[in-house]
Amino acid sequence: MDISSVFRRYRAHVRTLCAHIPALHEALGGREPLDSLPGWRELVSRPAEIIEVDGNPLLVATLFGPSGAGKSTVFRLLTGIDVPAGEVPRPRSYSCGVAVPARAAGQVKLEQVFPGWHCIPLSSPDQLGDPAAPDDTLYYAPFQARREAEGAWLLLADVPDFNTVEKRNWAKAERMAARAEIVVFMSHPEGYIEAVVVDHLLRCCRHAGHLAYVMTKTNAGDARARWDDLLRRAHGGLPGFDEMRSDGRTLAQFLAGADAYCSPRSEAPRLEDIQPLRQDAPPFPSLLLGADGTRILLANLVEVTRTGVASCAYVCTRAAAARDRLSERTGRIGALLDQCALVIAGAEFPAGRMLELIIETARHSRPAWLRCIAAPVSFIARGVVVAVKHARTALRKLKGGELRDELRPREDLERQRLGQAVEALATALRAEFEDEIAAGMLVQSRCRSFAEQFIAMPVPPIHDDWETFVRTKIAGWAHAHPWRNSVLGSLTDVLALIGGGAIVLDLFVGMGGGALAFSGVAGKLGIVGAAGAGCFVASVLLKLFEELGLRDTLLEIDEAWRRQRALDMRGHLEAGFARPLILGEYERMAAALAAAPLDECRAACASLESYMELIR
Amino acid sequence: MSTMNLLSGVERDAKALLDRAARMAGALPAASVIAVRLGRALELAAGADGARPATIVLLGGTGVGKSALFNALIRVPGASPEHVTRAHTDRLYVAADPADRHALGFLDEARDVFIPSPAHGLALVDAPDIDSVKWHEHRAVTRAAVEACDVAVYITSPDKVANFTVNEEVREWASRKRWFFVMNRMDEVPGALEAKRGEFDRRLAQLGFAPDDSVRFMVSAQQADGDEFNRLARAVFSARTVAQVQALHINTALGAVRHAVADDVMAPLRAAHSRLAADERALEQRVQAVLADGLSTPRVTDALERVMRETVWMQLPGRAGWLLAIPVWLRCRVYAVMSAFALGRMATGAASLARLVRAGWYAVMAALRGAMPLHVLLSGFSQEHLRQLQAVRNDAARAVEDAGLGSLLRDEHGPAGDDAPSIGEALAAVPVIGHSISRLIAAGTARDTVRGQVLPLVEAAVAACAQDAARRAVGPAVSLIGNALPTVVLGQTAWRVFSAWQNGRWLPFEFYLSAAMMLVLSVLPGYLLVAARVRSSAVAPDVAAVAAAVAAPAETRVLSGVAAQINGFITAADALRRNAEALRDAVASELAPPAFGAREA
Repeated sequence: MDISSVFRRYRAHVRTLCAHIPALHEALGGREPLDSLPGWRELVSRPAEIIEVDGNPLLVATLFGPSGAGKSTVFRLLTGIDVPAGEVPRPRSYSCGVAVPARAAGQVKLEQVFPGWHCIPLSSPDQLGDPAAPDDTLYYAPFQARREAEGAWLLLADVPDFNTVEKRNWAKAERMAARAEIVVFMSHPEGYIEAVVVDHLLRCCRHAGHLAYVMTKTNAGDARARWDDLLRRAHGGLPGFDEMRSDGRTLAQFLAGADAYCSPRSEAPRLEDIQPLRQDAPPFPSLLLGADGTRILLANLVEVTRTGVASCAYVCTRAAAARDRLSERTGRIGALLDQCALVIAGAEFPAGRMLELIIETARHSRPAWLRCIAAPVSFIARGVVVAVKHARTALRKLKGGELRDELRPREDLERQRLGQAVEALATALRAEFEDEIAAGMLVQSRCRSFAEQFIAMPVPPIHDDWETFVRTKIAGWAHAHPWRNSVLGSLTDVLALIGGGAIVLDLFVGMGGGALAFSGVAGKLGIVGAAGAGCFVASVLLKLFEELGLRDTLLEIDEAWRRQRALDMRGHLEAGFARPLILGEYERMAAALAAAPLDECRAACASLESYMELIR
Repeated sequence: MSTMNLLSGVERDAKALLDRAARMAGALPAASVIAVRLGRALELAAGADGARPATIVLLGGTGVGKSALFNALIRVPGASPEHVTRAHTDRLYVAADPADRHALGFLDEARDVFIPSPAHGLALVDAPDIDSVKWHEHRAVTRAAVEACDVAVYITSPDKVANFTVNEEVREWASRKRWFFVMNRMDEVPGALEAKRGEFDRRLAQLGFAPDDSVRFMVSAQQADGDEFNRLARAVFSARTVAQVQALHINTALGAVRHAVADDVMAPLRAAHSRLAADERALEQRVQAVLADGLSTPRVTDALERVMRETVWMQLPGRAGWLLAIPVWLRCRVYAVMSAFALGRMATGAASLARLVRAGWYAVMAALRGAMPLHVLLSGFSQEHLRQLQAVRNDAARAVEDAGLGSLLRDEHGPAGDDAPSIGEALAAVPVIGHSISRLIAAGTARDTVRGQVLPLVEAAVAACAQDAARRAVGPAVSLIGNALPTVVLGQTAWRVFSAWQNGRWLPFEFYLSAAMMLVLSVLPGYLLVAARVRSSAVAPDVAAVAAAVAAPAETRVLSGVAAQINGFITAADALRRNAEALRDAVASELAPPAFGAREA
């Protein structure tokens, strides 16, 4: 098996995930950083290729453990590099230090080995103890490695602790641990069973290609007792240790297979003092130097990938679920809009406009001879209508009142209805999607802001289609009932004429006051549709139309109105209120989810699973 | 007044606050935390008499040598078993006088181990660790003991001095207890005593303490004959009087009360209140803007000016003075005079229904003269105004819901129905066109606000403006000018009457008639001058200022009710905390650190 080509293909799939999973995570509204996904940090912190020096892979070994475990002391003993170590103060290190084999130092770029770290040569031990150093700083120094011929090149990292009050150190330690292929877990005897220490040990067991455990500052007997105690607890129900690794072992079994060492408390510690707890374990100095690099690297790769890919698959599943959820929510919002639109359209009807259209069509549909006979009457009636209109306008001007559009009442009603619809819709949306209140999308201020913008918008005009429909229907009725149509078409002329006569009479008798009122009524009848006024007049006329056999036609017209107006209102509510408030955001999220190639990510996850099988 | 009496006052306040917290617990998680904490504090306060021994608990992480130190202190090897493996202690080991055993409320006889000790009035407790893998169980046991104790001994070791978990636990209890600080296992770092002491002091300072040698000890339980160990033992086993022990218990109870209303739990309540108050202010401003707009219509402005003029006239008789006051007074009371006249006619002549109606009409007009016409004020409000006011009402309820306090809203206004009205039902309930504006108003939305709040403010503003306008309209000069002519006429008439009387003759009736007419005519120029002055001075009040003075309108009542409820709770909690702190400071003077430990700095 050409491990490099396998790794290249492996990396290609990881790059696919790295490219798309963040977008999916963001589209899902992930408030937690991506690093909180189990295995993600480990997955992306792998270098882009297997780095080899003289044909042997380069491995990262990390000295990891709680404060006071002696990590820096052991690092100094192993590498000869001077780093801050000792009893006071706790903690001593604030940055990661890496020892690079002198021979490899000139051949590798450390930024490739540690993606995302800023690597700086270590010139003084004080650099590692500087609390003000940036979090991504990694100091390195060369050391003379005693590499065995078949072993791997080891980069040994000393990391800050993860359990003191210096919380900034925690993230640095965890980040470096995520990169490590080999973990040397160190603990002082009082800390081996601390919850936070065991928790980190669990993580190392989950990902490490190889693990060694060193219990410092204790004698062999006590160390053995405590190591056994730890293993007993790991096997006996400590949460998480029953999890399976890819190599078929539980984490507890993996821990049990780790090489365990101890070292006594000493004023002048030596490397030789670190003794194995089991007879068959290799001496500590050669443990790291003689490792089977490829095996460890691949073992670590498999474990890291397993967790990371599971997380990515989980994100994909969530994305698919989110897509369904958005679709379902959009549907529910649509249903609410439909309901609103139907209520508004059903609550009002342009009776005035309809009557106007009916009478206009009826007049034009009269027989030609009747139109000729009625022409003078129509002419006078129109004159009366115009005169009454002007008189009303003049009277209103004298009174100082505003001039109202004849169709204004219907618009007022619609606007009022729309205002109420928006309130009801906002209430319904807040009740349906309570989580969006907490998320800030349906908070009161946004609902109000968009409601006010919506109310300020013009009401959608009446559609021409409906007027055409009314004219066609009435023309059909007129064709079927020519006599009735003649009566209806002539009625308005007669009424207007009566109104005009009343004015003339009144002007002679009583200075015009009473007749103006009467003629106002008559005039309204003459332009009854345009007036669109009172329910009383409308109901009388509707009754009249029923007598004329127009009932079914009117029902059809009403049905057509509701249908069309509901569509208009729905569109208006959606575009003016629902979209800016919530639908737009849902559509943006859906678009973002649709843009990320979910299937490609799933395929990458599946491929990585198969590569893991191959590597195993 | 004794300390116990003072404590009972704090207890009473704490109980009252507990009741309020319990009522708010459903809506505010912080309130439920306060309720739980207050409940515990009250339990401690109930047992704050001197019958309970002073309780000292050893608190620390795993492996710092608590058990070894406990055994060394009571000088009973193995009393609390030590073991090479860690997290071994899983129960309380309590060393106390058997006579005090019944008073140890935290002692679980089935679980814990009681060790007889000759130290009367003192219970020394070795508690499990708080940071091992068994922290779920161990911490519960330890926390119950620390909760009940009076003094905590924080034990650490050179390797664990910076341990985050333990430091946080100490920080959690810091303000509630008295403290001793011990760094154990110093035998393991023999050359680093002073360095470790400095580091320990620095960590303790970060936790809020100012340790000194009387409360901080660098010891080794393995070397129980060292100086520092002996000092520690003397501090723990100091002789304490009954009164001092009682003061120690009171200190503990007050610490718990203070903790119950500490900043960490009060912060969410304060944040909720700030948010509601800000929302309330914003909504109030919206209501004020709507009202200002409604009061600015020409009809309302006209009415205000009319009312203003009438009010100015009512204040003028006194300012006009002398003879000019008579027509001014009559003008203001013309309807009253007419009414009295009509009633007089009925009394002296024949009564009739028409006269009765006329008298009633005059009486009504007299009563209404100068009164603010509510219907005119209401007429300034259009459909749009009503919609805006209703929107504010909706927003007030939504603001409460947004703050996660919907259940408080339901508490205030009764339980909501299981089913919210559908959109169709909500829209069906909307009044439609054809309803007159007055009917819409009568239906409820704005009437309360306009009548209950705007009207009194308008009346007060009119009254204040009228007073000012009256002063401007009729000053001494106007009064002098207006009264000059009638005074001359009256003087002339009086002189003629006097002269005639001196000459011993009677003046004819026509003289008196013409004199009276002359007097009336002489008053007229002054009256017209006053009328002109009133017309120019009586300017209607600034309606924007009137609207801006409307506070807590009916539209925001839902929100302000909830905000007031939370604010009342915060105020009561702050008062309780202040009282507890003051009393605790007083008690602290009786508790010397070498015997009772340090308190948080």
